[in-house]
Amino acid sequence: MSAETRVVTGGPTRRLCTFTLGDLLLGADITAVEEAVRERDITAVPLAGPTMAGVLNLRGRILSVIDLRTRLGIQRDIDMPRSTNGPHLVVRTSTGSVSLIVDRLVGVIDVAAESGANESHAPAPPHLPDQLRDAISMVHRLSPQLLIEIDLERVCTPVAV
Amino acid sequence: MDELLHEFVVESTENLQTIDEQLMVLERDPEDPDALGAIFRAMHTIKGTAGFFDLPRIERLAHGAETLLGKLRDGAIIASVSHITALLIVADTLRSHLSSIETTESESDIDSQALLDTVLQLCEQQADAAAPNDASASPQLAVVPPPTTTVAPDRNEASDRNTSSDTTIRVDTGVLDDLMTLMGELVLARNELVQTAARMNDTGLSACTQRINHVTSDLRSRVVKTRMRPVRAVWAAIPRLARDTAVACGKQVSVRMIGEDTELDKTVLEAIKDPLTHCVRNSVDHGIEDPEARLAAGKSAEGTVTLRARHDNGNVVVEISDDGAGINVEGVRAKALEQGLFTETALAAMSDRHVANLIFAPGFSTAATVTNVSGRGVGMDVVRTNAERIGGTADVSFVPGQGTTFTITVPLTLAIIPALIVVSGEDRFAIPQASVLEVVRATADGSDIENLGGALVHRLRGALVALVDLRSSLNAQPTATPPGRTQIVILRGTGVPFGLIVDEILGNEEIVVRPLDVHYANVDLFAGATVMGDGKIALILDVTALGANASVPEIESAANEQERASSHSDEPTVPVLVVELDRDDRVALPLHSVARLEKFQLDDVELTGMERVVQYRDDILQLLNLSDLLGRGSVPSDPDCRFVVTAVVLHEGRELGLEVERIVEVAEAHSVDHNRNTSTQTAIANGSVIDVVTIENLFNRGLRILGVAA
Repeated sequence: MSAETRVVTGGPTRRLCTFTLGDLLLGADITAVEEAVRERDITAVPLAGPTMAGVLNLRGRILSVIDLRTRLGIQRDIDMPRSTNGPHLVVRTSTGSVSLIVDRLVGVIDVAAESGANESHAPAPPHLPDQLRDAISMVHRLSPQLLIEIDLERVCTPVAV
Repeated sequence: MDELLHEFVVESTENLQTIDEQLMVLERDPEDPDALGAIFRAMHTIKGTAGFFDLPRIERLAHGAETLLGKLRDGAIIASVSHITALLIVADTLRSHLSSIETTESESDIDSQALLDTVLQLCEQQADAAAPNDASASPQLAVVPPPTTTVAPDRNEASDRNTSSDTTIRVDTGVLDDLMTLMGELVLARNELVQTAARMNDTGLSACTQRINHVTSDLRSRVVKTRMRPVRAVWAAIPRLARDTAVACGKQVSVRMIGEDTELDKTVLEAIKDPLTHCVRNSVDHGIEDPEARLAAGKSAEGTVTLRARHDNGNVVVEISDDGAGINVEGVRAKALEQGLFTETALAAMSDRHVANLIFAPGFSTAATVTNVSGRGVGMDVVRTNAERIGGTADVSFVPGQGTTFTITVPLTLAIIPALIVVSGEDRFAIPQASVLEVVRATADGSDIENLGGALVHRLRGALVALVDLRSSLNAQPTATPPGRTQIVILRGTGVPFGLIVDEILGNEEIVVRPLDVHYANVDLFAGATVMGDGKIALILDVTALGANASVPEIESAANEQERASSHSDEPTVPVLVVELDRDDRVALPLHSVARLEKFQLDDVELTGMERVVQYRDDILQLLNLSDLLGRGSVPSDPDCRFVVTAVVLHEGRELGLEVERIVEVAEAHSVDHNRNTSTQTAIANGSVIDVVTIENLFNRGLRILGVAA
């Protein structure tokens, strides 16, 4: 991962581990991120539903892999096959550790820690898919782009198939 | 909780267990000095430690019991049933105090004064009665046990304990679980290392790898051993359980144990605890007869429940047998019918052993009335469910008038198991070796796999085995082309064995079982996952779920109906193969004359003169259109159809291929007319009238058409 860091001036900050899915910039609270890993061999688990990409072996641990694009309902580009490949973000949730497939890891970005309406926060853009809208915990206004922080607990809650 | 207090609870629970066990011994031999000594010491320890922790209720109760025990041990009174019952109740009360301490850190507020009075009364009464014979046993002395007699055994006990505490330590089971997890990772790392070293071809590395390899294997067996406990650990409670059950139903029972040192994994042991309890209760309540009935049958008044345990091929087999009346199969049949589990005909078709196994069905109970002990219909299904949950099986067999045997088979350990590695499509899968019966290679032309009414079957030494295609179970693209080379793994899930079609068998491997997490909880086809030597993951198949998914029981009932047809000659039914000639025109072929079902490529059908033939099994098979043959008119053949569906029928050593439109199903037909000279007989199958083709007649006609003298 590139060690790119952007600093928000003034006030207490929080760090987000950021990545892209299509042209969206997303982030997850870094305290819940265990590690970022390169693409891995994934073993598919048949009958498990489209959001689950399979399982992977991380140094002897078997982790469930969530296909984050499908989970968040973000369209794939036409020429892009259903990817089971890509870098992974291994995150810790209340139901155990899970690996998320993302398009590209961006880096760590500092954001304002305070929640609530101020100029560093923005409403969710209107054109987002419902699954993603439900998973947003906050939208941070960066220049030139918005950073969508996702709620890992919600994203990683098993979905009924 | 305070660590010392926790240790007191653990230790006292063990002591109470000893008391229970030894009281059972005492009941057989009321004057057994070893048993009395052991009970006394255990009670004394509880009393002493309770005093130390300031637990007055426990202390007083234990003290009262000790008083009674002192008298028994001194021979002032002889242990009778009432003494033993009272002492058992004391043990139970102490247990509830202990469990209360474990949760609330204080004694339970059970009022045990009445119990204490009873115990003391028992001392007094019998002491008085015994007093004239033994002057030394005055009540005064008996309350405080004579020091001379207590000191000696106590000292023995102390020294015993010292030696055992020098060589054993208590370890929290969580530590053992962690150890096992780490061991699993080490095994995986070792597997990877061995593979990598083999590629590197470096002498020094190879030697080192070799050593690590051996040490890991040794270590693994030791670590597995730390989790092993003798089956005695759960059997210990059985005599007491049997006694209580027997008392409740007015019977006499003794318990015999064989192989109580057989060791098995802690987790497995816990899993069989409930099944064991239910089996023993069932044996005592339903199996063993009343003393009068036993005497009338020429048996001793006291029934025996025998527990046997042994290792068998990586499994542990636990048998619970009684010498009772066996299972009342007619009663089970009637009950199953009443509860709507099966139809009358289906029940009549089942073998007695099959019927006996119905007692494992959920909610099943034959007890006429609901008793305290059994008859609520929850019980025996727990036996099978629990055994299966950990990859085991439960079975019951019986000999009328001589007894019933429950057999529970469970794997030795759950964490690291031998497994068969198979390939289906691109992926590898592991099947626990414990469920694999055998592997059969299906021949290249696919003729080993038949399609009966949509269900795939294989004839294994004459018996029909339902087949499950792993690819279609996994929703992968079904094997569209006839599989070139497939293997059938015969598996034992619940009940009947079934075959699993896989692409390839890779061999056996020891695998470390890892659970799949909550994200895959909705997929019941997999029992877990494991990391293979190359670092990739293989999923572990759940054999029971595979069998259930593939609805094997339907084939089973078809097979049963065949069995019925052969075993109940008074009911003239024949299994028939129903085929479709045209959309609504169906006829049936007697199944016994159907040798195989084939699907020939149209390109393979050759014309020789007027005959249509195919090369088949190094021979030439004549094909005849069944519809033509029966004079039902030619069906215009679909020009796009690339296949000829054929039933190969056999008569007096000659084979004939009958072209049909579609194979429908296997059914049971009641013959209506028996005229052998017509081409068909009318019969009733599945409630509708159908023509059954007379094969003999058909051959004659067929051969005539072909211009051969019949």
